[in-house]
Amino acid sequence: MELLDRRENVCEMHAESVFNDSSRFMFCIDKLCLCYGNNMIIENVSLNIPKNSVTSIIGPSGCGKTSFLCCLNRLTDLNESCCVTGEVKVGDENVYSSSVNLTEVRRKIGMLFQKPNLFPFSIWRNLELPLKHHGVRDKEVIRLKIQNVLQNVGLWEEVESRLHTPALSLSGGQQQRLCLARTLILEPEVILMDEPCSALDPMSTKKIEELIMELKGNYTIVIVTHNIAQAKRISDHVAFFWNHEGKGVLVEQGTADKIFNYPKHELTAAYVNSGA
Amino acid sequence: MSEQAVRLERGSHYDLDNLATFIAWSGFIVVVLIFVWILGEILVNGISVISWEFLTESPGNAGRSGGILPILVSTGVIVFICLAFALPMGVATAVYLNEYTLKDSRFAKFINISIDVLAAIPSIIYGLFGFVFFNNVLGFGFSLLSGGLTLACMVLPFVIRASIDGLKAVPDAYRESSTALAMSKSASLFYVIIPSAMPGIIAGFLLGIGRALAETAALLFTSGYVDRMPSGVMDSGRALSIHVYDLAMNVSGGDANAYGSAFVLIVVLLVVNSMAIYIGNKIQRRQLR
Ligand SMILES: Nc1ncnc2c1ncn2[C@@H]1O[C@H](COP(=O)(O)OP(=O)(O)OP(=O)(O)O)[C@@H](O)[C@H]1O
Ligand SMILES: [Mg+2]
Repeated sequence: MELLDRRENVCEMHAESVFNDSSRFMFCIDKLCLCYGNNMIIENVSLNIPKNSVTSIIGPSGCGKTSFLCCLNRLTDLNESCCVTGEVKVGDENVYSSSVNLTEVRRKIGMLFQKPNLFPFSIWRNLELPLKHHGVRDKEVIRLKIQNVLQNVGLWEEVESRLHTPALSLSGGQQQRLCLARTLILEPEVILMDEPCSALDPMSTKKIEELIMELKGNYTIVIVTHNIAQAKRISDHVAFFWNHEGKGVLVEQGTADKIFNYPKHELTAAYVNSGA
Repeated sequence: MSEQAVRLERGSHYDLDNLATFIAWSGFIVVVLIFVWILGEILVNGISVISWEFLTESPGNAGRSGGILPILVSTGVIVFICLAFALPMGVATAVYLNEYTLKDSRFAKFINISIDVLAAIPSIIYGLFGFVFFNNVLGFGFSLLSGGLTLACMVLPFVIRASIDGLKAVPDAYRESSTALAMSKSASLFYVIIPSAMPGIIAGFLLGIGRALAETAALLFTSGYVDRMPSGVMDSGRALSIHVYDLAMNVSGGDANAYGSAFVLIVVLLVVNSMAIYIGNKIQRRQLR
């Protein structure tokens, strides 16, 4: 029985690689390299990330997971010493081509950071600001969207009465959910998450995980996590990065089942079993 | 090592400790004493002069009698002109340096050094520069405008420094999240970064006011020292600190009113400085969070 399962999996994998239909993928990343100054941090990563599913990026500390994530919405622009080569395609557009409309691309790709990074304004202002910047002026529309998105992240009851108090007075878990709300309010197609639960207690972590499971029908989620158990719980696909002589390389990728149960590479096997 | 030696060694440590404590404390006490003495002298001698009439009348008899209203007006106008130029320029320079230039580019380094040099130039030099440039080259003559602009040059490096500090205190996370929210650089500057840096910018503003209020030398050459009510920004007028200087040094029998004017000056300065400290504390508290 188990053997049969395995064979099926292998077939599926095979089908995946042959049936390389780009419309199934949100991101097609080809030969991506990233340097800070003269240090190469990510070397030659090629990876396709399927739509409407959760892709986990796992690997040891310092192997370039955060940097990789920042390539997907070109947040690398903020660092002057950072240079990127290769291709990151979202749909048909290469994020790194000079003709790309960055505002549009970044609006399509929301991002959640390791630490909640709300602005030092009120809860309301945090949500209103991105909306207004993207041309939503109608007060009633703004109000509805804010309420809607706060309900989606399960924060509405908790903050309904204090929408105009400083966002930084919320607890860490609430702040992270508010960050998620702020991301969702722009109606992105993708949500990048960089260890979104690493600063949270188990209860808040569970809430975020539940939210991820709810969201994945409508969004493509790429999540970096150090928590292998978490990756097992939530991911459909997994990419395993490793630090090879100071450079981050992609060792293995595939469905969650394949990576966790039938890893091909011995590094992968060692890594995914170290936490279990 | 024998037990006694150990004790001795410890003993000498204690002595050293005590000495250091003594030096630190006496330094502290001397500073406080000087402060209290100056303040006390001015408060005690000045407070008897203060009255509604003193604040609302023109000076008479070269300042020996009457009040300081025209001087307050001139001072206000000079400080206003100074800040009207120094603040926008200072904040713009700080934004440019901190947000647009590469951190270790030559150009940024050059501007940074220039700012430090400008901050270290004695005010009398600014006065001479203002006299040559604003009064003569630009033909503003002895006027509140020349004085205000000269002070603006003088205050500018401090406003820039304070604003840069304010901007530096804004965590990079704000820049990252506003970029990730697809906000343009200018929008994130105006709606996120500058509002977050506001405490630092306000502290720079208050520091500027403080320095402008306290200035004498740079104003002697530029806005003049006639003590009548100025008729406009192109008229000359006397600033408060010059008034104090003039009454104390040049007018015999002007001591009482000199103390009175000094009292007013000190009260305004104290208020401005404590606001700056209060806001400075606020910044620090935010950084800790
Ligand atoms: N701004 C930067 N400038 C220079 N080097 C950097 C910068 N950011 C990261 N690096 C380097 O890039 C490498 C990868 O960093 P990155 O943050 O992407 O790792 P990571 O996989 O996310 O690690 P972790 O799991 O600890 O978050 C590290 O060696 C780090 O020193
Ligand atoms: Mg990281």
